[in-house]
Amino acid sequence: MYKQCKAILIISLLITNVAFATSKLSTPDIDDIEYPDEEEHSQSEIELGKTLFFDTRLSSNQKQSCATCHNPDLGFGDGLKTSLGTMGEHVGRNAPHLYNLAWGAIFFWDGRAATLEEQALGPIAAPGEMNLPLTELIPRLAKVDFYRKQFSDIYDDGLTLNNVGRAIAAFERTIISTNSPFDKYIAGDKSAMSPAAIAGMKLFEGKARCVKCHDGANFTDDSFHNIGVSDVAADQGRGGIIKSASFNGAFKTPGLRNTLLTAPYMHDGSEATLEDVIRFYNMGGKHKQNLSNLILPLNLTENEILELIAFLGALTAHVQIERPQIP
Amino acid sequence: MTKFKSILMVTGLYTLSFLASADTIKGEITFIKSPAKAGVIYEVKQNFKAVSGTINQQGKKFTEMLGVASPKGELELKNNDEFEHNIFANDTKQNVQFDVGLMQPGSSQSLIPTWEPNTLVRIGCKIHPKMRSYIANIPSDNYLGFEFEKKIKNIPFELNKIGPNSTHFMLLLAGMDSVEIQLNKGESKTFKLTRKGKDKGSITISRT
Repeated sequence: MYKQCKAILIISLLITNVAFATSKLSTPDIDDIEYPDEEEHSQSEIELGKTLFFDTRLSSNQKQSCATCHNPDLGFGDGLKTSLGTMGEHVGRNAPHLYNLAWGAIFFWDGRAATLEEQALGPIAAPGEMNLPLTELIPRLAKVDFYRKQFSDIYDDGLTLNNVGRAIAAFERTIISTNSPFDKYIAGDKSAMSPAAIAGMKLFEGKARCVKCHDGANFTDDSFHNIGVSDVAADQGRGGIIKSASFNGAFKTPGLRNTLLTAPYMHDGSEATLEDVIRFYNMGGKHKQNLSNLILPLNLTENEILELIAFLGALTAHVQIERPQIP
Repeated sequence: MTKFKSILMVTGLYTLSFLASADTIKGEITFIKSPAKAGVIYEVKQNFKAVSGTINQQGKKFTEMLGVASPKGELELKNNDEFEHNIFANDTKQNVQFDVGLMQPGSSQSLIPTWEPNTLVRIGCKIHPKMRSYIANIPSDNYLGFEFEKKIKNIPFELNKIGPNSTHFMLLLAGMDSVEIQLNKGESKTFKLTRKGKDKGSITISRT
């Protein structure tokens, strides 16, 4: 029935792709980055975003910048279980790393931001974080010649809230890690990973069930799972955002690139080391209420735990960020 | 992997022999930078047979980047995955919003396109935000769907069995402005492809 005209144009390894239950572990493709309006960022926009990222003017008392909690020297985290706001109080969640967010589909532990641009403004205004009302942000930046000129040069509408978000997001899209021993290994350099790491990779994809959530080029499905970290009542996570009880206690799967650098782990920073994380999964999580059916006891041996750590270490490729001069 | 995904012209020999008097439109879509994810070109019709399509979910992906249905048809959403999915659309611009609810592995849902025709709408999964596909609601049973390959910027196409009195065609591309085409026999035309008014490519089209 008119199928002859219905030219759905596919031949493909789409077929091969769908044979896998999860996305293949791979190296991210720069061509897969989706830029707003499909326009790559200019170098000047990236530099502007970087300057904003490190500028403490973005917090109410001018003591904290984005980089305070997302410190490049600490795996774009802060090393704390839960971050401190600019007024000194804990914010309740661990600072997520920023590696390879250029490929991200949803942002924050609870996925409350749909774009990197939207995400970038969130912590600035959050009372428990940088605590700067956005109505005060633009007048504050407008007092700085550098910002007035740069925003005017880069954007048609100059210094606006929207453009502050765009600039910071532009910088964040450059925090890219794609040259780890794992990437070299899958590119053909079979000496790039140790035998332990290779064994760990097999466990990662098999017995340890990690790829059920940590799949694809950035080792995340960008989905939300309750893995039994904490009491659901303590933090509803995704469930609190979309008002769906089935997502209570579910948090976004973090990407694992450079995970060696991003301790402590979990949305509440409750696991201090990668070994702790693997032992947590090995017991099938701690809190069983609303636990994802993907979480099961793993029966990993001590040696297998070490092999998994070796593999996670093989996902490390430092991203060097030179701190800008703040105007 | 997807480099093997190529464009398949489904004109088919049996199509060619179907109506000796029917016209053909041929052309090429050219993208300046990144191609759209999907698209459809079709003959706009007053009367057409119902078209129905299927979109599968497997491996936390939609296995089709495009599903096509007509106002009298339906789209079947099939969860062939080992994971739950929750398919939705939230296109306020085209006024297409739905949420089919939680779909267990092995289940399916039928979606009747009750919204305005001549629309191409993105759908996603609330559980797996990376999942993306597009559904077209078109007043036609003569169309050509495209799932564009990310590194192929020039895409030739051919649509057969054009009715002798038909002159009205539409091109819908994901994330781009739609292109309305009036084309008589013997004519060749070029149209710009735009997104929010910005030049993103072109389509050349001729009718024989």
